[in-house]
Amino acid sequence: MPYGDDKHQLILNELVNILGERYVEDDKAIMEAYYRDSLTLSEAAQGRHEFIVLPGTVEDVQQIFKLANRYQFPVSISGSGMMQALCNAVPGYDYWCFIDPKRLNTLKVDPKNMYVEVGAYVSLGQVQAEALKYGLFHGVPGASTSSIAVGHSMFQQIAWTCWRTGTARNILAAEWVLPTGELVYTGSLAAGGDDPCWGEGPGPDPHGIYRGHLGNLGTYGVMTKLWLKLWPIPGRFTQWPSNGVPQPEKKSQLPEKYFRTFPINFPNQKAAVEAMIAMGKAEIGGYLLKFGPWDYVCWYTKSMEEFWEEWFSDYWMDVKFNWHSVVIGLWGFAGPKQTDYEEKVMNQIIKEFGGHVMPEPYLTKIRNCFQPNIIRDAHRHRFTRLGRPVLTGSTIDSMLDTLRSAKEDIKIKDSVTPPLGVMGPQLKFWPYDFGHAAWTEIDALAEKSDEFEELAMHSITPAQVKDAFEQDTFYCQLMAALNLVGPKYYNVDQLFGRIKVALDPNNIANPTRMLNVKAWLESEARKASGIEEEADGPGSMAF
Amino acid sequence: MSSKAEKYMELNNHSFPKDDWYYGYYYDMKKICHNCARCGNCRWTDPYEMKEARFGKGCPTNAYHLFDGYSCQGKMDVILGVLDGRLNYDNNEKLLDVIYACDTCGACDAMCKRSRDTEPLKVFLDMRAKLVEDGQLLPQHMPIIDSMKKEDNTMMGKKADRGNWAKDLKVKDLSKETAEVCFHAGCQISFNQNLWKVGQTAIKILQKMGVDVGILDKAEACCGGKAYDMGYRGQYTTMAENNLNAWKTAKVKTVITACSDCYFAFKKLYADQGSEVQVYHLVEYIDKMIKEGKVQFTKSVPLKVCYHDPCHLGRRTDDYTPGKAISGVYDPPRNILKSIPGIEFVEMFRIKEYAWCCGSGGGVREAYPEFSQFTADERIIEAIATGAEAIVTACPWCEAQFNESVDRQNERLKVYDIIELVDQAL
Repeated sequence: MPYGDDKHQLILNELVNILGERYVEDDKAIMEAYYRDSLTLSEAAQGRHEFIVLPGTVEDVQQIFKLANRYQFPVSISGSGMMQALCNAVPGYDYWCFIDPKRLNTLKVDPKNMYVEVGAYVSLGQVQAEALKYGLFHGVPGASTSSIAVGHSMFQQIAWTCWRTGTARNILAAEWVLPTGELVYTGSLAAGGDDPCWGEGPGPDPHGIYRGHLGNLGTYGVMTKLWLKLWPIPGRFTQWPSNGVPQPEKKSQLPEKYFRTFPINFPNQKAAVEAMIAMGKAEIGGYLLKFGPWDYVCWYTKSMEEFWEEWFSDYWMDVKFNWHSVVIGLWGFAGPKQTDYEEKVMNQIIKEFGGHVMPEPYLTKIRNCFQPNIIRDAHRHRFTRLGRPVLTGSTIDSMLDTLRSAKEDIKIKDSVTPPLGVMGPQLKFWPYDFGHAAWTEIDALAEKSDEFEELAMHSITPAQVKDAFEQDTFYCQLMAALNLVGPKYYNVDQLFGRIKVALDPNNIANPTRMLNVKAWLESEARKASGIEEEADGPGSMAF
Repeated sequence: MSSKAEKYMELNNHSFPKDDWYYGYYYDMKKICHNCARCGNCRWTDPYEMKEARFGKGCPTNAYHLFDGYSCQGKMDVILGVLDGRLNYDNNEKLLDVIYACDTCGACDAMCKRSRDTEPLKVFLDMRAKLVEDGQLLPQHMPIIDSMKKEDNTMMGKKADRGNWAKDLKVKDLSKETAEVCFHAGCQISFNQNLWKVGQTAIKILQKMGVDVGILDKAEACCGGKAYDMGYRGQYTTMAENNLNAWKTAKVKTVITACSDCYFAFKKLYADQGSEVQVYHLVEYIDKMIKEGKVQFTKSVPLKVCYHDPCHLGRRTDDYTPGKAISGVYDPPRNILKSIPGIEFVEMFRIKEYAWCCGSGGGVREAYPEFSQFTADERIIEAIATGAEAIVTACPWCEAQFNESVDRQNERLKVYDIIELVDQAL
């Protein structure tokens, strides 16, 4: 990387002209803080940016993109930065400019119409703190409340509560800077005026383009603002209950008449999934998740030592290999009678599919963690209490099709175990919209070591891509690999690929990967046999 | 490999993990940095406690500097870069800044520990010690270190003037007499005339309680805590040895201080020097006296107050044990305030282990004044947002920061050390 050459200096000067010296950095020490995220891929890739910029207004963002088009340098953005590799914004080309959106921090709640206006760097914790004043809430992903609301929304808004509240359809409107630097508004703002929540104007709306895993980390430009739906919290309480004791003893007890959590074991994967489908048809639950035992144990244990004691206890060894666990949170949106009714329905479904609620003390331990953390999770990366998770598979598809496609992902995991830790055969997913679709992942526990990172980069990832290609599923670890979508999602990738080319003719907006998977796999095979490959610049698109 | 690790490896089919690190926590600088997952929790306050978006941030350094390099996560990446040889001291202007422009408040450390077995703050402090050892000194720190070396204080004052705050007091001089209890004023109280009243009031109250108390007067030396936090471990050790010897000579069994920096140094750091002296912060002592019925408040102090938890009285004093609650002196000052008649007590938004720093720690007050002022200003804004008429604290460094901030922002908020309100109520 020709760091510091004439072009670098030229771009630096121009960025300083736009933003001022205080908000532009190219020091290598500062770059070091942006290169990796929670996932192994970024660490193995070891890419570095050349510029970090802090725009303060939407006009600043527009100017950055216009500059990028003029001088042909790549631009990406991230929220909290936890998932850069998953969303494939690991810098791979020269002059890579990263937008750190910290100064774009508007936050306004409209309690009457139940929506919130958020800038590009507002955390979900902040949204929740403000929303709760009016008895409202917004869902939180597994990445917790320190996730950034806009980033989370671009990642399909896969909150724990999207079982009921849905995914990115909670985005009412957006202020969107295109890769060319032009500005568009979507939703009801597209029709002019300043009311973001009455729906969409006549004619086509670009609502669906930027959400749903295809537009994040800047691939289609940058969302500088979103207007997001808020939901009434059961019981409409306005103060978050906390026992005030220092963590990790800190507890939060939500009112039992409105919130009841049940971890449930089913005798096999099929029974667990079918029970979830039944719960979806019955429309019960504020959230419903299928977790592996690792998640439960990581979540409620407070130290590494405690984790291992629990993990190898008789109970969890039994669950790991002999049961498939589901956790449901019954929420009384309409009142306590709803919670009571849903519990009855849940019990009927459990019985029908041969399951049982986990016994004490696990019921209480899991309930005490899950119940509050589903809304205000701060456990982020609890699973990295030890090691690092690696996804040996991730897809978005219907729940039943997941059972089919996940089998191959489990085979990939098993093929590299050891050195991956033995997790049992469970796959994990959280379904959306009462089970009409689900995000699936196969997690494996891995040691943080060079050996493992090599394995992840050159063995697990190609195997996953190959499998997804052959299975015709949506491979979620390479977000812009647009020619991979599940069989239930038709060939939308064809359309979105062309939209990308239209929106970003110079391919400067998070440009790394528009993959022709077949060509990529052939390239990997050549590299494996020692044939050197030339890196493509940002202007090329292998699609 | 430990026997526990061997046992678990066997149970786990000899696959993962091989490293003892995963079976029971132990401190390793590089491992801690390497295992940072970039989750970002370190920038925020606890979501269970977050009541206002405006006061949702936890890290002053990241809030001011904005670039992630200055956050806890960023610092760990930078430190890893140095340890791995990817970053060197040359041609990296901001490297020293990233490590030194941090008030070492520990808010990030508290949040990281919410879900991890880890000690990022210890890593930062050890990195500072390494920088000092490697000769990478911050010029702005030099006057403070020189002042410590030559005059035994951090305030650039003359050692001979150290005891001036007590010149009108009738109190034992422990350089000549002995007493059970030594009241250690600390550098800020000793040399900041605006805060002399804190020391004077403390002595008056202790004597009223019948405590056999003395002071070291001119012989008192800086606790060395600031030197430690800045990375000057050698200088810290010198100060610690001086104080320990002085206490030994004066047959002191107990040290009481009104300064949270000194409290942290004596309680936590001096234990490593073999100190067996019992250490109290004044708020602990007064709370104890209230509970034993030895203090009676007879006057009303009609005032709406909020309390600022000094970092070095709170989370910085914690002895880390994975899985155990983070400790700190949080309840005693609150007990005191709530037992003073007339006081209406309101909590700030970020309290106890998540309290926002005053901005004076880690050498930042001296080396990065704008950042230090920003931090203090933020806290004053937060205090005003509670509707309180006064902000109360238990540390002269915090008090100095807040006094300056109130003046700077032209606010009417009053600033008190807790001992002043105690005195008003007696």
